[in-house]
Amino acid sequence: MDSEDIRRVIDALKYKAKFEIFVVTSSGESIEIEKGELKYVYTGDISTASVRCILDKRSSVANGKIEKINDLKDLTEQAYKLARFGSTDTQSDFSNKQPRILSADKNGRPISKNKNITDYIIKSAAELNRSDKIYSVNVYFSTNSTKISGANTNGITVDRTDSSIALNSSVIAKDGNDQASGGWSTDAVDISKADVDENLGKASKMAVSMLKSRQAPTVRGQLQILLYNPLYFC
Amino acid sequence: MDEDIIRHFSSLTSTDEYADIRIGRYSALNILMEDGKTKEVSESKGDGFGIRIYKQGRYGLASSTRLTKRAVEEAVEKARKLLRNQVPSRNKTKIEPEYNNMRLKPRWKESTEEVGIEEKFRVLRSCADAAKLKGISSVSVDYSDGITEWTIGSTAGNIVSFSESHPRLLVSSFVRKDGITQAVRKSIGGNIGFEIFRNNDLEKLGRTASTEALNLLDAKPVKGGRYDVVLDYSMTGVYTHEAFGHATEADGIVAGTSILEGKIGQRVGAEIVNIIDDPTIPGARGSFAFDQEGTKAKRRILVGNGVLLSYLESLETAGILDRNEKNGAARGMTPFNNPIPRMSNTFIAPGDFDEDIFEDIKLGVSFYGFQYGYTDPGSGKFMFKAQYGRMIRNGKLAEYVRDAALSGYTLDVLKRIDAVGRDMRLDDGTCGKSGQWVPVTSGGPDIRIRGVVVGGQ
Repeated sequence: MDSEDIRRVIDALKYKAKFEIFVVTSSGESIEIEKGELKYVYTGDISTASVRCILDKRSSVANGKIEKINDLKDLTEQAYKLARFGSTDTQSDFSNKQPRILSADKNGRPISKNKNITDYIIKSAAELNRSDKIYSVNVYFSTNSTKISGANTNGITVDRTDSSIALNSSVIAKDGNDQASGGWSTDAVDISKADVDENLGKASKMAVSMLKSRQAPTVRGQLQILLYNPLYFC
Repeated sequence: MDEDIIRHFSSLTSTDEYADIRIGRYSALNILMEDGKTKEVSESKGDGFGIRIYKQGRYGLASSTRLTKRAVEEAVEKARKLLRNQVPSRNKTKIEPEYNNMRLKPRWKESTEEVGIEEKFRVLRSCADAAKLKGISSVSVDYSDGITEWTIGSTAGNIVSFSESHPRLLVSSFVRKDGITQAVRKSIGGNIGFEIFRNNDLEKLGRTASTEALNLLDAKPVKGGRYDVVLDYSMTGVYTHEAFGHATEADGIVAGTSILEGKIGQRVGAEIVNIIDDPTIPGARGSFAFDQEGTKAKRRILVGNGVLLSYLESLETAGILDRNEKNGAARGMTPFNNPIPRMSNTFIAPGDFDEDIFEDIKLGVSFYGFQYGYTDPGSGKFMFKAQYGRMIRNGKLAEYVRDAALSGYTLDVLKRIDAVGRDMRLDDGTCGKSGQWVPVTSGGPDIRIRGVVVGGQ
């Protein structure tokens, strides 16, 4: 289903309301490593639609599964019925500007086609799990490709494909009875071995550094503080 | 039709592997109202399935929104392909599911699907209008309901089907003075039908949130330091759920990320502390009939008289940890998610302290209502901020304070509890872990803890 299919659905609607419809088809793969060893491999595909309706300055949203064009018609009817109870604190119309056309991202590939990096992650996690003071290395790596097609009653259409990769590492370090944890996350469109090394390296360094650390003392009054990583401002 | 799909799935699996399938059909409604204006109305509906194949210590998972036999065949093939050519795991655990064959009818009296949206708005407005007291600057009310019909099967020949309904109303009252905003939130919810809103005084819920918020208009920040503290049921619940409960989830034990690893049979808390996780409480938000591996729900005593007795187990963790304790804690947010050990209704059991819990405290802080916080189960560190507090001076509740936060190490604080009250309440909520959100409750009676770090000004 693409934006032209959606636009035809909207053009055929008889309701005296404004509509915006998005169909999202997402497929993803992921692996999870537990204590340095591969534990889960996952693949999934999901197809959903979201219909927004503006009726007499009230708006509503109906979300649902989509397999065929008629499913969209049912969903628009649902959104229309809901709209008379809808939000009054909303926009009065949908966009009338055609968005810049984005080319499909060619870099993102599923895990099953990203075998070199996947094998490298599994191997690196296993090696790190055997390191001094490292007790447990746990990693989540996923790739996702999402196709979004949309149209609205102003004749605006959009088709785009996004790819993304997530790599999250969580490391437990132990030294006798002392235990500490560290973690690092990477979200990107593509990933290299250097990114994997950085991700695992930062998580393990954080965990080992925190061994023998003491609890920050509670201080009355005000202190100057330094936020180390710019990401903390997010 | 769902059972046909499950039987078809079973015919595709072989005897040298464990495999299971979850089919879920869901519908949900959300309404958000702020200061009398509807801000958001949305409905969702869908269905789909997720399968798992477990072989030689590894899981292959596949899922789809296409609910057909063909889609299930493709999913099985994909899951097997992902597992193919993997180096065998060191983990040689064999999964032994519990055999159940039941189809449960919904137990609620009034289905939320059969109540008109006008009636839902009426309920929401009654709470919102009652909350708009003089001095309140803003009121927000969030209504949600959702029904999921589950059918679960596995290679053991299990097929169980049951439904869950999770209506919830959350009211937030805001006060502002001199540029400072304070908020108090109250909620009501359950695994139950619309009757929860008919059987409870929603106007009182709204008024209570606002009355407590108004008490904070002149509240000053608490001075940071080490204090004796009393936690209300909400903060008791948060501490029990967040600081302790997550560390009992056995996937963390197996992965080596929990402070409770290897501590079964050891004293982890004061002798008067008993911690329960119970998914069988009728109508409670965290309750369920079967977990998502088809294991019947069971009450779990996690801590008895201060001694760690149990973890929250899935079928696999029960095998790995060799404790033969299939206590049915595997939950997934949707049929597409991997079920992992999760809590349900988690609480410190009522004690027998029937004296004035504040009397013995010369200078302390009483905490009310959870606002936000975090826990690191790997190190046991936690920090929770309360919605508000009250100073305790010479055994009496005194002035209201704001910005009161409790922090420390889980097992240290659990041993400092020296009084557990008699009257218990549960607070409904939603728990997030590994990107999955599941309905839960947490609670307990009032508890007293000696010498805890309180953050403030």
